[in-house]
Amino acid sequence: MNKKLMSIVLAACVAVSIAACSGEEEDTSPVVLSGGQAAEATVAEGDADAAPSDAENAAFSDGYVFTYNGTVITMNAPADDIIAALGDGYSYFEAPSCAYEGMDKVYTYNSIVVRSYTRDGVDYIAAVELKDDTVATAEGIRIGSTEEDVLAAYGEDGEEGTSGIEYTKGDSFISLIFESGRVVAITYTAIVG
Amino acid sequence: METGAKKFTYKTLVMAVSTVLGVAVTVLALWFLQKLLVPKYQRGVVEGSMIEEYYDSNEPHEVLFLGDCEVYENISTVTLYENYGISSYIRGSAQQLTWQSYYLLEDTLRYETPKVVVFNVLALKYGEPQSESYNRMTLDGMRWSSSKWNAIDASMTDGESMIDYVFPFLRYHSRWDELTRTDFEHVLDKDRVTINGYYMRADVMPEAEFPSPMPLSDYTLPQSAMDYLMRMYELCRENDIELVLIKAPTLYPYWYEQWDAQVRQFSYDYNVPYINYIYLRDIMGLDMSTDTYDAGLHLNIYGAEKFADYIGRYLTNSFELTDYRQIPEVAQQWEDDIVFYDALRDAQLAELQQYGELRSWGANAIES
Repeated sequence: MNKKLMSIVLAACVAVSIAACSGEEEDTSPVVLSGGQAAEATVAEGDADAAPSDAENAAFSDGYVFTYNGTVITMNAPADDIIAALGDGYSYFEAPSCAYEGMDKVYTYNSIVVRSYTRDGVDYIAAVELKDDTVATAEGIRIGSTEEDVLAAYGEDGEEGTSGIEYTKGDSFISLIFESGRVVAITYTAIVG
Repeated sequence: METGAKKFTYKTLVMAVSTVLGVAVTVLALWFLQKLLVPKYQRGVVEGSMIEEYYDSNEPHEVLFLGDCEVYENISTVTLYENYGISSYIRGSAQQLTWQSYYLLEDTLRYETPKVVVFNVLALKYGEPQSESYNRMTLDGMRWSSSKWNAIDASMTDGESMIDYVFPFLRYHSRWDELTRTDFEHVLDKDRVTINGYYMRADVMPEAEFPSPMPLSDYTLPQSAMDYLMRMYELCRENDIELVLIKAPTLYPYWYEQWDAQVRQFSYDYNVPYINYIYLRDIMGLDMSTDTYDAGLHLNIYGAEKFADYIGRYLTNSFELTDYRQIPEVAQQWEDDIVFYDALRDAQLAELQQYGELRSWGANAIES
């Protein structure tokens, strides 16, 4: 009886150890270790050849995409190739999160602002903000469009907030902010799961 | 027959002892492995050591600060003591969420009852759990209690489980190939990384221009966060504690005017002081060309001393706080803290002079 008991206890201990140690390659890092300080810079030249294809972008997300100067920007897609493809003339800001848990990066172009987030050392598209009326969403909405235009383009089933309306699609949503019945800001945001 | 019984008893005893020893050795081995494998947060990223350090602080604390980096990097607890005799503690941690602040207050009340609780409101923007890494830095350091259990329960992100918090070995068992020298050096004990919760940085990097804030379609602060603020208010009231809400003077991450208005409304509705120090940067003498170490995200020691001096004057004038400089047994403990504070500052200044940057603190000290 005692032998059995001892065997059971030891087997349980060993089983727990083995089970615990046999996990697949899960991430056990306590933090994403990317250091640095908040910084600003102006960057020139891009690499249009690096532009990911529409199909490549679609593989990353079933959400909204935005196209700027021929480059498709998909929420939650890896950022490096997209930033390279967007080309020259952006100003850059980065700030490490508390305890160096990732890095907020902001790329400001003439007509859009692209933000990225870091996960496991890789940058992904976090948000795209439209700055002026020279750019429009795939549905034809731009800054200055009316609230009626938005409802006609996106439908009535958006979620109304205190200053605008949001539409969710896949792992992203688009926010359209109104003032006096007209769109004053448009932002695509990744839903980070 | 008698010999058989004796034999049986002897064999039984041997087996019982063997069983107990076997279990004890196994448990001890697992315990040691767990101690070895869990992150130590002793170099570079030290934020995971902050919450547990509180339990080693023996002074009484009449002022308790709760919140994220906007408190633990921005307020010098030593300046509060030296200039006003305020004995305080910052129970801050990286991206501390509002419900975590609430449960840390509950936890603190098991040990002492401060006169004033100061809560930094930036975390009110979060209504949902955000990150396992940040959760770990806040929750693993709490002593076990119903408060810790509830804090974990409220904080877990998808994929996290309570059992991993109860037995951290299950979470970190495969970290064996990432172990660094620090993991071995600090298996059983840890070095102090803060001065009563204040994380010091003595380097300087002037404030940069921040990008414009992203417009939001809804500026309503999440109800879940506001509910926990309400619970914090009620817990303070039940314990005869004054609650003070602050927004630290740093500008990034952005604190929207619409959020500010909601906190002001809460302040008005419940008669809780709320001070947004963003508007008081000039008055308190902050010079963001010299008083920040990371381009304006956080204050360095020079900024933290100015902010502490300013908020200390408010606390002293508004509440009946004890001047602990006049109480020898507490003053002696603070003198020890001041020695540590000065030594830490001097060590950082020496490194800055030698290398032009800090190498033993912050990002440069992170071990790969």
